[in-house]
Amino acid sequence: MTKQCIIGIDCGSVSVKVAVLNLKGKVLLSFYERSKGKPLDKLKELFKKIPGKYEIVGVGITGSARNFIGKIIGVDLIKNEITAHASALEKFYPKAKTIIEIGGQDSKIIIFRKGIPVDFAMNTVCAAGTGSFLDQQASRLGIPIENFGKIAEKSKKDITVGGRCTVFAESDMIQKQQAGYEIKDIIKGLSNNLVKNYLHNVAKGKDLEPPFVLIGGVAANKGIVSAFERYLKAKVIIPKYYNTMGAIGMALLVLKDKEKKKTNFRGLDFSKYKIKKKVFQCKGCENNCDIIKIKAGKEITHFGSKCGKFE
Amino acid sequence: MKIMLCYYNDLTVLLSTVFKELEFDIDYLGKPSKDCLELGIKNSPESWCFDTKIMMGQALEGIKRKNNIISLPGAWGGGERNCFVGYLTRGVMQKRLEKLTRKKINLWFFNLNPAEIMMSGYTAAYKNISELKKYSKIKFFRSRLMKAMVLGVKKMNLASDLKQKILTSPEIIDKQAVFKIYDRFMDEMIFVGDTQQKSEEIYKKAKSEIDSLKKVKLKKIIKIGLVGDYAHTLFSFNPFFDLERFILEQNIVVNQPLSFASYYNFLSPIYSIKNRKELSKIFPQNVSGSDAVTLLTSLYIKDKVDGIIHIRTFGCMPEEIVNEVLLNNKEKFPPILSLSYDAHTTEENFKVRIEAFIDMIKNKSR
Repeated sequence: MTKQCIIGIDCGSVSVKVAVLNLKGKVLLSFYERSKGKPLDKLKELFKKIPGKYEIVGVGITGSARNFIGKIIGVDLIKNEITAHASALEKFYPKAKTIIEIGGQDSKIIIFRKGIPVDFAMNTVCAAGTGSFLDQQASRLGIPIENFGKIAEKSKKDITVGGRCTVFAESDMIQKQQAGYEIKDIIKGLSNNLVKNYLHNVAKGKDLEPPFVLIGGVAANKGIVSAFERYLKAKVIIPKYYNTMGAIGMALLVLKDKEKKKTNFRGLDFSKYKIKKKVFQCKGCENNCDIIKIKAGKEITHFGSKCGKFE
Repeated sequence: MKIMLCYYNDLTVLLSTVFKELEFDIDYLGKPSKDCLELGIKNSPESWCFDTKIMMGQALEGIKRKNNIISLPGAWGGGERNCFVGYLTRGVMQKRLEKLTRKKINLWFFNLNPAEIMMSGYTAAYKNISELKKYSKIKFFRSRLMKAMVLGVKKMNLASDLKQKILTSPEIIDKQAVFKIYDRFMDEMIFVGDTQQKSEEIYKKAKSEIDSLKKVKLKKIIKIGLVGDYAHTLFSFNPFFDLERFILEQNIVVNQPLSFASYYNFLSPIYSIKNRKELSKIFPQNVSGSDAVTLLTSLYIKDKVDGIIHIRTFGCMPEEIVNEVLLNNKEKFPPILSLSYDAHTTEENFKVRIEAFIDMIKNKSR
């Protein structure tokens, strides 16, 4: 007997997240995998993990690749990451007041009051403490990112590493290494400064009230978590599904939006898709927009035109 | 004499009417293109703001097209002292253009100081436009200029009305068609609408075409106020992203109360005594400068909208001040989304934030 369910997808800059929820909004499965620059291939792999007993009756997608991948696989709802995260937190943490989200390429803050999102902000200044930068530094130092937090926790010193700009932060770290500072102290300094930078830029002017919830891949980094707790002088909650909240939220939004409509989803098996992609430049005006043409089955979709000529 | 004219919302119509009366040939470039921005970036120092880079691109395009006079906007709101555009209008941009092209450039900046325009009658505008006398061979300059201004203001009223109609019609399904009608209307107003009667015909035709477009019934009308840098709220300077159109495409009403027509009719609602009193409570400064214009606009619309989008050029000091004032007084306003842009800001950056902001407002009003 098949079980009806909804799939939520979060296709971000460094990872792909998939969540499978039943029609009551319960999380049945959730996956998080790094995409390594090939989000579609990774999604294909993750779809293979979904058992055949599930009948997919709705699919929603969020993340930076949402429009592109959404058109290829056929989805019922495409939303931005802030709305998707807010939707998941509204259900799972209705008492939370401040949500800190640090993803691969951007960081966000969502302010909740009485269970509904009332304010938000995204990073504007370079990197401002995002996962990609931490990844880069971990790889430069030859330390697995999973150990980054543990190493930072061993440090007893408070040193300053410039965190405003990734380029300056990196050169500051190199300088400190050359000056003989210990790696654990540099990593702790970096974590502290990324958090300070987040609070001064992304969270600037926001009413930061507990309970605080930290989500996104960076929530796995204990060094960052303890730096947040130090600066906020409060406990920071890390949810069970901290890295798949966007995908879960997306599935919940589909569930809310669903009025017995037939799903647009083309199916879990990618090999059945006949996808052709072509990029060309429109010469209709001086804007010379780069148009991406995708042919998935019989459906042809275009992206990138400013005037909507191809829509 | 050939004069370059770009798109400056309803003011385009007044300027074109005056240029025609002075017997100049108008070279209308419309809104800035990606090429225009690239030209501006390539030929401006990095320290120049986005707006001035666009202006530089427009000027170079105009020179390439063999215009004898290059017309460009001056500093918004009369904030010459702390505005970068204000600094460049004092001969700096001219020098750079002449150095780049190795020839004499006739550069003319038009007055964008609403308070001055309103408080001086037409005197300030007249004085500003009179600077063009040296390029015009017409007789009876003064009387012909006055005649053109009277007709120009009437035409400007029509252009402003049509724009307001578009911004408050989110229920029209085909938004692309609406903006096509508007672009054609502007072209006709510039090149064909030589009399009041002809201009009214053009207006009525465009209005009835918009009225005849298919509409959808919206369950709830959400209104977003647009305040901030004139380059984005009024002049559509960003070639990558049409903010007004994007908000309308989300089926949202755009409340943008600024128009040059209201200044030239001496009745811009943002300058009411009540509004100015409210401003003095949050911003103890003289009512002048683009910071004051943005704050007055925000105060004027705060009870009429569900949210406000404040848009500012990165590094624009007056708008940075506004951002700080709005942050410090946020309890007095509906939710505010602050967007900052520069020459490298992408469309996607804006879209995510605006979509999320609209979702948040819808969620809040649920």
